[in-house]
Amino acid sequence: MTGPSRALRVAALVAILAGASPILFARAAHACPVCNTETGAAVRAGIFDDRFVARLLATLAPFPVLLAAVAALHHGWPGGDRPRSPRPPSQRDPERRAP
Amino acid sequence: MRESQRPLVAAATLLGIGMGGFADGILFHQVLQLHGMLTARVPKSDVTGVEINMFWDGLFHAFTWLVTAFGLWRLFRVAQQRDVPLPTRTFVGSLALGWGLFNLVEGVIDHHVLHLHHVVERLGPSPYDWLFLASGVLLLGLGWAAIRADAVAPGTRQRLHAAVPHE
Repeated sequence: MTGPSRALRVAALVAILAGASPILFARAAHACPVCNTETGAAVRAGIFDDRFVARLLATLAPFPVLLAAVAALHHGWPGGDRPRSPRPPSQRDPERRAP
Repeated sequence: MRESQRPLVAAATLLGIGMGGFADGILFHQVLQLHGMLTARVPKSDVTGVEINMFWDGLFHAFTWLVTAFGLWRLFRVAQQRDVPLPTRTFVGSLALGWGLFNLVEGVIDHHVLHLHHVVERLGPSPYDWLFLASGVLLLGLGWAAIRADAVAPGTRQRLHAAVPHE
């Protein structure tokens, strides 16, 4: 491809995109939940209704369970036998000594 | 599991949870569009339904992002501890453990208890829901086995023994 023809194609593409942008943005705006359109209002009504809190709690429900599992991996299970501080050298497993 | 493994396991498990959550969101919610966050309650039968599900998908992904960010922070802190070993098998195993945990916990809560959505929403409750759980159990088992293998492997064992828990 030669230089001028590439530039011409790029210019044509930019022109097409520029020309189409109002249509593209207009369509996007119609489906936008924060836009002042009929669809936007219906979406807002569907999200922020009297079931919002219940749905929020349901959506986030797995996270406390997952974080509790990670906390248990890090700190040990509640009531487990993980020592709270390292044992003194005299009580350590002989294998633990550095070679 | 050795005491010295715990910080790395916890950090990588958080990252595995994040990877599982994003894989679910990217693959099932966006690319294949088999379900959305609330498709069992709000069908994606029109633009409004799609938009509402997209909102809840976004909230779910936002929290998945927070878990991933927390995992990155924890991993950074672990990497700063010069006396904490970083065995590859423990790291990869913990990633698998986290991913498996995500599939198991999310599957049980969202698919089977709360019925927010199902893996293939068109079918409703289906064997795919159980397959999702099985994938969680499999990943969790593989991850745990890798972590345990590092805890008892002779070379790694010495390094894990020599390390002092950093908290």
